[in-house]
Amino acid sequence: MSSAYALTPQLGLTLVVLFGAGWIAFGYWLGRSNRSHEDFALAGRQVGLALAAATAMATWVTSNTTLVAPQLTYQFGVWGMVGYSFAALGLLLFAPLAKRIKQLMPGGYTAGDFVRSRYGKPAWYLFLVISAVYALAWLVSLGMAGGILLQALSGLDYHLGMTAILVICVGYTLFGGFKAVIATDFVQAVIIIIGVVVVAGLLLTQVSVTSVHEQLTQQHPQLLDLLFPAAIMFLFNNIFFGLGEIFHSNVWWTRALSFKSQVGAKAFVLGGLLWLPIPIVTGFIALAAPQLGIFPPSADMVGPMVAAAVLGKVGAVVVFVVVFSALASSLDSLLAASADLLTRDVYQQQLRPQANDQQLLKVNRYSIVALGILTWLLCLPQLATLGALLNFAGAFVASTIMPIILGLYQPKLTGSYATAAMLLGTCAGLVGYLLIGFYVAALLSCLISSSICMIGVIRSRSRFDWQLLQQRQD
Amino acid sequence: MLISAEWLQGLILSCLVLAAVAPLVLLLLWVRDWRQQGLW
Amino acid sequence: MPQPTTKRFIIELFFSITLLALLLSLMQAGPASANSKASLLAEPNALELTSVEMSKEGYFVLRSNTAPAATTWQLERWSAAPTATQLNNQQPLTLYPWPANTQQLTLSGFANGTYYFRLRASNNNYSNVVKVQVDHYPLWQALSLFSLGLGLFVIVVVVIAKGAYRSANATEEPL
Repeated sequence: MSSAYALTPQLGLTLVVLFGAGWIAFGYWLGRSNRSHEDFALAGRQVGLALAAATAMATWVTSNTTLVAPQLTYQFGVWGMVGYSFAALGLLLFAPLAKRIKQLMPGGYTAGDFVRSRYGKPAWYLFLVISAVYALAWLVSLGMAGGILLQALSGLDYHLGMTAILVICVGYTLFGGFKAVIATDFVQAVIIIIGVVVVAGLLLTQVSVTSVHEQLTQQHPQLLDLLFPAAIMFLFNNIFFGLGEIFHSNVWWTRALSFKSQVGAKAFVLGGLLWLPIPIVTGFIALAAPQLGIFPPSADMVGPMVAAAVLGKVGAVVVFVVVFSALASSLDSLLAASADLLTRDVYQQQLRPQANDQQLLKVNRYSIVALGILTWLLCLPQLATLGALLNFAGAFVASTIMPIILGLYQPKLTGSYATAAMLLGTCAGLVGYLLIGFYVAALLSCLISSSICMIGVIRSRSRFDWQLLQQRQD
Repeated sequence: MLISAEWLQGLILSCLVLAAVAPLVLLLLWVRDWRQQGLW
Repeated sequence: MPQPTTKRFIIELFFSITLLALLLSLMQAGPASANSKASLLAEPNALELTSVEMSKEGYFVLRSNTAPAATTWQLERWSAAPTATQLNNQQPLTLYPWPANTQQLTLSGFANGTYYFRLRASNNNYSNVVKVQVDHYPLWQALSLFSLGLGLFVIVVVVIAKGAYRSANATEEPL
């Protein structure tokens, strides 16, 4: 690689414009049939298996899988990639929950709806704060990743790439609503998998696994070590982080509610199984880096660097398309789901309970734009520390795991115990993060919150009437 | 305790095969849903 | 039901936690920027290499005070603290190409031990030697966290499985 960047700025810009125009036109075309707020927010609640499984898989493939899986493999070796692929457990374990959600509240809109009607208002406020922290941290990290990616590949200014991905995603989500989100997710899922397989396959024609193994044994033995302490410590923390992300986030609840009732559980299982091999395939790309003489400036750039080195310009284009798809498929989902929360849980519940369908539709669209602008403003200074905020989110989201599970299945858990569990779990996770390290934040948070929930269940004398869930929605 | 070259190879190749099949599965399901008019 | 003041308190508490977390993460980034200022104050022409002293994960970042325009620089790894004569007469253990246009390089996968690095620019201009100590977490510590995580995970799975089984069989239960 003698030239500084894999792509020329012109090519980078052309790709962004082509991509943007394509997705937005697609979103506009899909959005023509949206009539009601329900169409816009939940695609009419009749999504079939193919689109459902693809959207579950594609949304969970974020920059996290295409950039962070190689990064973790570069840092933690074999356990890094295997451990990362365990995040599929989040999707697999959400499958029964998705079925239950659809069964308990077929007319519900958001995760906030459930928490409010199941646990009451204090738990709901707390839940909204946790959701906001997580959604903003994730939105900002995705926006920043878009800017950093384009800069790293083509030398175009960070602000241009960051602005481009936000405008594109806001654009097609605004026109097409949830239908655009899941239809683009399907196309993006296929693009992502094919791209990743092509890069890894071509890499294997240049280096063999045996030679990679030999090189690592000599120079970087810890990467192949099955008893690598830091990697073992990170393993379950990562799993709990993933469970917390999926179980609490409205991104996944809107999916559960929008899928056909017999499809929900199957879709999440299939999505999880399709997702499972991806981190290992992308992780292998990082393991081959030392063999190819590639040492990245920062660990998260190892994937794109190897792909560009193996495939040259074509590789850089493939990486661009794959990572941009991965970013977009998560960003659009997060925009749509967070806008639903704002519309339903803030506007309709707090400000204007009598709002009619057309007003809700309008507010939902405004919310998407507002979230896009907020994210853009937060991404503007390119603070690495803001991206790092996502690490803290583990402490927040893992505290919701048990309250959500028990809330769906166990009528004995009351709102005050659920609130205490989320609050103290989050505090424990943050304290652990600051005093011990990142690898205990989600673990401690889930541990403390689960213990409080267990006490709550044992001491409880009341039983929640499931019918209240349906009544309180209306 | 290092992972052996054979295990590493098995892990990576099996995942590569699984990932290569995934788009086909998605497309087949899409065709099935489309023919049943059940995409959404 | 709690009073509105309780609600406000909970919300305020959470926002202050978030704010505190953000401030702390900014503070953590503080020393690095202080370092780069210090290197700016040093001789402008001298090639200077910096790194962490300790790594508990076997990976670490090496930073240089200038960035090469192309991939022509190399990072050398030495087995022991090399003397000036050794540096001139012996070969380093390993060479790592330094990526173009960046002031840092990340290495990973090192076992316990002490490692020495020096940066060589294209014009035979050398940096100082930096020392990195790799000392992994004790295995018992890692395995106890692993067991704790595994135990908690099994509980989560059992609770979901029991709940799903009951709700599937409780046909008399009103929805």
